[in-house]
Amino acid sequence: MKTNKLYKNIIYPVISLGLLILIWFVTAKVVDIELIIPSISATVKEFFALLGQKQFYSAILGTLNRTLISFLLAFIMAIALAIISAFLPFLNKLLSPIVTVVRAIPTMSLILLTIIWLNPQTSPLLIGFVIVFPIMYSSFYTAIISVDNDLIQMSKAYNVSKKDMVLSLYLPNIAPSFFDTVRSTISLNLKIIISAEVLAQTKISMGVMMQMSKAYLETAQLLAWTLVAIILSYLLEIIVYSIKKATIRWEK
Amino acid sequence: MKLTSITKRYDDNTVFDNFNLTIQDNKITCILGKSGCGKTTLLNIIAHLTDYQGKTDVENEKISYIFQNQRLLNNLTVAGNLRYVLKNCNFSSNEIEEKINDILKLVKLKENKHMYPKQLSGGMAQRVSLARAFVYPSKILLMDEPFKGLDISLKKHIIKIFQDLFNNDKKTTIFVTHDIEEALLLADRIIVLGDGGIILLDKELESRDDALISNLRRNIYKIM
Ligand SMILES: Nc1ncnc2c1ncn2[C@@H]1O[C@H](COP(=O)(O)OP(=O)(O)OP(=O)(O)O)[C@@H](O)[C@H]1O
Ligand SMILES: [Mg+2]
Repeated sequence: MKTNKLYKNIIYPVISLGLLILIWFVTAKVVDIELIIPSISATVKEFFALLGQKQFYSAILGTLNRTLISFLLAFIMAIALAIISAFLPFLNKLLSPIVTVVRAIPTMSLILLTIIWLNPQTSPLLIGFVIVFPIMYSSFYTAIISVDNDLIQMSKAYNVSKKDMVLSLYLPNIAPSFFDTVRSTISLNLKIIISAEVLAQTKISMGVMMQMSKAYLETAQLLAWTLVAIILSYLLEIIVYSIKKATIRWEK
Repeated sequence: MKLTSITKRYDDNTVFDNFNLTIQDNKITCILGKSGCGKTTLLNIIAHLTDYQGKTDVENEKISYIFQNQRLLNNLTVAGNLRYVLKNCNFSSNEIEEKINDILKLVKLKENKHMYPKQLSGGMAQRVSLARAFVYPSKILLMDEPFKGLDISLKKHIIKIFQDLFNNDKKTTIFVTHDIEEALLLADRIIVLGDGGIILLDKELESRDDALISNLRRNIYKIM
């Protein structure tokens, strides 16, 4: 058990990360043009150079801020509507075609359209919202209605109170998929927001910093920003995952 | 327990039509009958889990229900699953813990009190569902094929535990099964149900006399 966990959580990730770095290293050596594939050392140097800049932190804060706001808005609406839909089936019938259509819109046309409609500062918020809301809504709704009917019936037979049913039956059964959805949508949201910022030229944002690196052909810097985005999205997922682990103890 | 003029329909499928039945208190009444004749439906009517026309005199009674599948909450421990049905019963938390400890001793799960259902074997989980039925302060117990799908030695073991629990706390029990031997072993009275709520056979077992049992067995096989 213990060694199994060690393999899963540490050894395999280290090996796969090592493999990735090796591929990067070899490709950079073979191509041998810093402009196209910057070396690892150049990228790491750029990364630490970024850490010393004031702009770096304000760009991250700006992007994180937008990510969290649009995520929270989508989250609250998705939860509220999923709960209401579970009790009012017609609402789900009304919402699910909309959700299906919205999910089918190509991300890029959505980004371009909202840029036309809104200003560069607010359009990433709307884009993030529109992309993650349908995913969260469908997943929350499915989780709520798929609570085991047998257990609901058992609870009614034993005259368990509504309050205890919500606390001990509904919430715990919804929680695992709830956390998994939050975890994957929050990092998706970060990526979407950054793409939107690139195209919308949002002031004080990671997207615009990446766009500038590209414009000045600072490929190593662009990669360094990419590294930052990866780390951020990983951190967001870890935070959600730790909350899940702390909350759900019965799934061994 | 008394059921009066019970009528139950699913669309155009009439499961019970003006059905009447009186059941002796604190005895085990076994209900046999072929698949789809309405045994589960009858239990669900008594437990107010489905709507119906007619009257039962147990509408405000507490009822224990043992299902074929254990129906335990995976997120609660063994003790937590018992606590779950006791919370709404006006016991103090001390009383609840005491009841839980006592019943777990009876079903021989004292050591497993803090385990989660996923860590239990099928037989242990079924014992928890027996414990839940008997820890719950009800006068009525409904059982829907609780021993189905268990292998023979496990079934014997669980039936023994059921008998211990029942002798310790005699509830008015309705026991639905497909297994004629189970019925002959446990029942104080055997009812064979036919389609549309017709009673094909209704026999009280005053004694476990061999001749009487084998005669009854032959009769039941003939009808079913
Ligand atoms: N929810 C339902 N909706 C429609 N029809 C139902 C429903 N539940 C049961 N029925 C029908 O009612 C009849 C009685 O079903 P019930 O489950 O009570 O039978 P049963 O005697 O318990 O059968 P089994 O021995 O297979 O468990 C069947 O014809 C079944 O198809
Ligand atoms: Mg049945």
